Amino acid sequence: MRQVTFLQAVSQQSLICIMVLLFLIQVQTIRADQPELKVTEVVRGLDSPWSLAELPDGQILVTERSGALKRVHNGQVQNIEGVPAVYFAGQGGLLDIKLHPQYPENGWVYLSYAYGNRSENALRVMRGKIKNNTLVEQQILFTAAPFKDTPVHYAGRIAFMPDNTFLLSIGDGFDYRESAQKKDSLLGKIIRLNDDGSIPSDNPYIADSGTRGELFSIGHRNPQGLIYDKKRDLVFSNEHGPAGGDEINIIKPGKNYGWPVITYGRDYSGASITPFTEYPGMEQPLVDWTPSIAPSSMVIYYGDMFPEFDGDLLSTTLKTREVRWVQMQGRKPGKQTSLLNNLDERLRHIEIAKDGSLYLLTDSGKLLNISR
Amino acid sequence: MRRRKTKAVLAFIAAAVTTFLLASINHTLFVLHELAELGIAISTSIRMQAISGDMAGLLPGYGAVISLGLLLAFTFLKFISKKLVNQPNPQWYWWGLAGGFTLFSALMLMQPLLNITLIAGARSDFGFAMQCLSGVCGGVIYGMLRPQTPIAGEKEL
Repeated sequence: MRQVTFLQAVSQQSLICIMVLLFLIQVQTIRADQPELKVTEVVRGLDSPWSLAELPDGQILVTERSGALKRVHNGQVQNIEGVPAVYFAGQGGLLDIKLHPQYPENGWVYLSYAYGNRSENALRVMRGKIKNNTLVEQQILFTAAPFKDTPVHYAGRIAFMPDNTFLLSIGDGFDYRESAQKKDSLLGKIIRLNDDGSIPSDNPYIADSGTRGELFSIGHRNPQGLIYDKKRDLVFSNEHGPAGGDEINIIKPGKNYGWPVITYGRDYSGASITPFTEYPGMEQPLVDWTPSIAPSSMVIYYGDMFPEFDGDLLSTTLKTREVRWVQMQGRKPGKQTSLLNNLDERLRHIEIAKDGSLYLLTDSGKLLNISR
Repeated sequence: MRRRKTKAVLAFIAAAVTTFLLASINHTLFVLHELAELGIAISTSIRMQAISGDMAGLLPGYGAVISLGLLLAFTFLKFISKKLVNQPNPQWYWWGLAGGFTLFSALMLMQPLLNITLIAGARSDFGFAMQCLSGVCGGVIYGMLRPQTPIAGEKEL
């Protein structure tokens, strides 16, 4: 019979204790990876809210797709007058809102919206200033050409760059998907403009004949998330694929993101969009979501409240009704986690508040604040 | 009587299969043509794979719509020809017209669902016409294969 000395027994006990301790630390780490999220309803009853911007004083401007611009303050909702008429149909209407990077000095508010009518409509961008609760000094900066006759796939997301130019995502109009590859059309593109709407002289296609000078990247379907990452100095975008093929991309000037020549999705009819998932000269997605989650908006989190999210991508989704947290290791995507799916809401927009909490807009008309 | 019914069912299946196959092939060729116009190289084997893949993909949805549509159209044609013009055996071209109208109606009814063209091969006028022509072909097949309905008193004449 094998004799166990006192020292050996103590060692075995210690080893077990250390293993249990390590397990507990691991469990604690997993818990710490997923912060407790406290959901507070700021306001409800908004009409198809699409985007929001937080003013320096903490008031919130919310766009409603039906064409209204609302100011939310202390739970009260106030209408901003003088907003331009929008084409409210299908997926069209008043879309994104962004403040100029020097908003405290110049007061410019940028709006994207569907303009026109059933047979001729397009994405348009204007800017104005809010004075006495009215949008004044309005300037129409851009209208996407050519006009189309479908009320869907406008995209319409605005993202300011450090040089005060802004990027704008333009959808393919659904029935015009091949236009995403045509450089004389603005459908299915991400474009870059100066803050006054003029075309920057250093745009990637500016010297090409027969090509629109506004183009920044081509081959997009319906990009609903578009953000500049100030720490990585990169532009990230997410976009709706068809049935499958939703994507996150790192957007680089002059690159072709492949739609509709390459995609991992299929057409809603069940047919293929294309026989290809790869093609020379076309970029592969950073993240492919097949089956679709229907990403509607995206932020890169930098803030004090949720250090767990630092530098990671948070996408709201419509189909899977969640915030999809994509953890980043440098430029590479890692683990994905579904957050707030217990809300069971189609989440339309996400924004980082000044205090590091998150704002969410739901298709049911709620503005939610997410804190810990 | 039973033989005539069996023949009618087989004729309908032939019409539905013909219509679906032609509509599916037309759809794929149109989509690939649009990609080729962008300068994308598509080999014959890739085209064949795309055609067969689309047949499988379109069958549950578009195939069902086509079959149901043809059934309604042929039933309606038989009913009105019998009741209104006292002619239970319309000429083959009437069946072709019914088949073409089926595809026309199906595509037109699908459009307002989302205000988009769900069958991508029907986005252009030519593509739309080819889809309708697929229905015409299926209708003609049915008109030629269907058993003739005996007319009352015909034997005595």
